[in-house]
Amino acid sequence: MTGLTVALTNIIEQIKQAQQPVNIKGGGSKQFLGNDLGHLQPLAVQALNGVVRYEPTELVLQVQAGTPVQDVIELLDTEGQMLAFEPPVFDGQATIGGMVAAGISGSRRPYSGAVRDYILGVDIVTGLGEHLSFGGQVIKNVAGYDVSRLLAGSMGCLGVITEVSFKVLPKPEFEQTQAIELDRSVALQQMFSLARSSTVTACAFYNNQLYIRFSGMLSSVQAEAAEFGGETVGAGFWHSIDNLTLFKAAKNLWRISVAPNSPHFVDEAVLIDWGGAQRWLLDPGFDPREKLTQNGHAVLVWGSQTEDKFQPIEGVPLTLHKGLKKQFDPDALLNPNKMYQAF
Amino acid sequence: MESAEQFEKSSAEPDANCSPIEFEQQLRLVCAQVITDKARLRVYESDGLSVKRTLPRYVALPGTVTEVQAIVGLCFQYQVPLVARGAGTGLSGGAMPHAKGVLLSLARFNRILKVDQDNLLAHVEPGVTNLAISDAVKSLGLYYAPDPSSQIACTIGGNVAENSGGVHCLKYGLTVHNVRKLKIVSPEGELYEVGSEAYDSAGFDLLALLHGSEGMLGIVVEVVVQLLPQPKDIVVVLAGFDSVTVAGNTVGDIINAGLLPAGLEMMDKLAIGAAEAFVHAGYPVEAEALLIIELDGNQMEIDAQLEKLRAVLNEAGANPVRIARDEADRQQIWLGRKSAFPAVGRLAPDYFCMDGTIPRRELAEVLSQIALLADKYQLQVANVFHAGDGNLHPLILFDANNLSALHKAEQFGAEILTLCIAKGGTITGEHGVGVEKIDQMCLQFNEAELKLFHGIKAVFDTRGFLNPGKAIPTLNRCAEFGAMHIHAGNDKFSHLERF
Ligand SMILES: Cc1cc2nc3c(=O)[nH]c(=O)nc-3n(C[C@H](O)[C@H](O)[C@H](O)COP(=O)(O)OP(=O)(O)OC[C@H]3O[C@@H](n4cnc5c(N)ncnc54)[C@H](O)[C@@H]3O)c2cc1C
Repeated sequence: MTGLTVALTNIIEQIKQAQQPVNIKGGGSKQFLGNDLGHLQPLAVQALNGVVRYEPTELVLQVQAGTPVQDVIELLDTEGQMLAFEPPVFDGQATIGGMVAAGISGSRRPYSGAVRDYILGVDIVTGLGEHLSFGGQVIKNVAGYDVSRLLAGSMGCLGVITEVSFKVLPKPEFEQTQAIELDRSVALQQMFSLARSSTVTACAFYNNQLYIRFSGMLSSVQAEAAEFGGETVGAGFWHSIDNLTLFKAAKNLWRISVAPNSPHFVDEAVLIDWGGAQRWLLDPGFDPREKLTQNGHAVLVWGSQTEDKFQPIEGVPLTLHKGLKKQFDPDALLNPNKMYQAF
Repeated sequence: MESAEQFEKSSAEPDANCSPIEFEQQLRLVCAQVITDKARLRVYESDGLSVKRTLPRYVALPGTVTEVQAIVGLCFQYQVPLVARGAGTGLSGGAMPHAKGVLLSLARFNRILKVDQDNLLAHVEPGVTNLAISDAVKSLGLYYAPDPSSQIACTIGGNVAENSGGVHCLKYGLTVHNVRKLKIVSPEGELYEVGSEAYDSAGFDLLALLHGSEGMLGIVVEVVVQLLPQPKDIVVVLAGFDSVTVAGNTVGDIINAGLLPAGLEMMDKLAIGAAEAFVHAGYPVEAEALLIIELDGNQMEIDAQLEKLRAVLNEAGANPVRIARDEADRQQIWLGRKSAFPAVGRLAPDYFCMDGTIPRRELAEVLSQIALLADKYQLQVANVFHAGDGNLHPLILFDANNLSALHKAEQFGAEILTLCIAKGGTITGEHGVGVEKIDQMCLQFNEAELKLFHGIKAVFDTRGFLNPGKAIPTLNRCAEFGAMHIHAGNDKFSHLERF
């Protein structure tokens, strides 16, 4: 345990004594997500900054939670490696802890996996002020329940993340994005067949154009791109989706996550990416969660909403969520009700 | 969290609250196929870890989810221990029965329910074998990526419960990376779903938590797996080395060259010899170590990668280097590796397969320590290694009919696991804890971490009757075991030797 983590456990101990819940804050880049906790005292973890260990030949990176995602990306870049889930960096503000807690993955997700898929180990301080360590710095580890992956997307409700180990990947030798004008339904069909190509690493439909990114060895990427046709565009297009800048005019931004061939919101979506599986609604004027039946969920990324912003959960899963919250944070001190009013 | 006493109580083995005869009557009412005669129960007395055996009191073979729900509900009601079983190929005793309990076999759930080509998903029952999924979608140009060596026999339900890996997990991940959705029967007998056909779901990642939970949190009754397009082209390279250390370092060099092989395996001399004698894969028996490297992609990708790989192997002085592009040749190379366990098994009446994982930089050190331990215990050990991801499989040879040899082999294994933890690794990369490594859990996790595990168990299984006594040791057990939690890695005293 570093001095800072000791300090953090002491702070949680005090919070517990005083029964004063906190709003955990990394870079503050994603405060818009989930229920507003502005009324709570912030708990800043940005001081937990720095790489603990980076072993390029092992494909393993161990880093403190307050480290900016941008710094990590730049470090990996010097060794020709990357975070394969392409997390948002949000003007350089996003931190590793926030990235894991929010569990947001970028354009590469369908082809390379999500944040949770690359987590090897996580250290946390629970609501009991205990500093615990799960997983480790090795790529395969099935000892004990997989608490590390459970923390991805837990929105700070289960513990303050202090350190994370990731699997990293070599960067492809070359990448190229092509855009081609297509009819919406034709584009969607194309997405399904493109999902079968080993060089495709991003796929979106926007403004009547189908965008495809090819990644791999220079020779093969150029050949595939040429065969696909259309015009070559810059990588900035994907960054503007991943960092949500493309949507900044929207007052209410909804993200819909569905099976690639789902019929939901095909026509209403301003942008469809993830090969069909992620759809973005800008100020739709209705609550899309009510229209989604099974197999998918909608989240109000930002916008006004008095109730919860995530798709409701119920039944056994809801009981399990409440039970897990009780185990990790029995006094509801860490980001209480951040995801749902229910816990 | 519960107090320590409460917690010890809740995680203790449940007490059945009705007589065995009454229970059997009730069980037969809800499930048509129940076995209670000793001869037929024998089939189920152990999993792949055959030194740990117990006869179950009942075996239930349900054929429908409703039957599963009723059986689980009944065990919940009467607090009768329940152990799920897929194919029983597990190597850590996870499916070892409980003497007073029900062994729930999912073997009859062997249907592939739906193949969804648009979304590249297959909906399957839990008793479907791993290989049957890939076979069923082969004609569509698809496959299911995780491929444990036991894939002809092991079930997808067992794969989920163990979070199984295979020789392709460096690039394609473990079971948890390739499953999108599960249907689970809760300990109360309620059916629920986690995950979805979308890439993510609302709320906590319960899907991840259920993977590798060794049948302790719920019964898997349906699995939706992600299918992948078959690679257009594959090449397998076999490279011999005259030193294990050089072979190990070459793995790092391959990664450094920016390559991410689909498979990256290593075998030592004893394993090479055993495999060669068993299946005649054309392995270089005089080599100290060999690497098997598989590259996949389209043809141009492979050509470019192969060029880089050749340069790395040359530089490392690998000899011989055999490049297999056609299917038969590739299969032959893989056959040697995939039959390594049974091949080594022919060298002695019994073997233990260890499963520790280490940071690869520690490989040379760990292998030489294992060799020293082999001397100390006077037992032979062959090493098979998922080199790309640091997962070691030392195979300890012994004769279980000789009690002292069995005991020595167990101690040898325990020392290897302790070594793995001390080197910053873990006691199990893919085979699970089960009963086999339960004491070593006390070394890997501290009291607070173990308590949280029990807390998680209690959230799912309030009565503690699903696979009781497995995977997570009680704090009392750790106290009796008497060893201290080893914190590997970066703590203040990491430079001190612990053993
Ligand atoms: C020769 C050989 C080679 C092997 N190679 C590999 C390898 O390369 N990689 C690897 O990871 N493993 C390997 N294994 C180990 C084993 O095959 C895997 O652990 C496999 O996933 C077990 O599947 P099974 O169906 O046999 O499960 P079982 O052994 O029957 O059960 C395993 C565990 O899963 C639980 N379980 C089973 N089904 C369900 C269900 N439906 N719901 C809830 N819980 C359930 C059981 O209670 C038990 O705890 C190997 C084993 C052998 C014998």
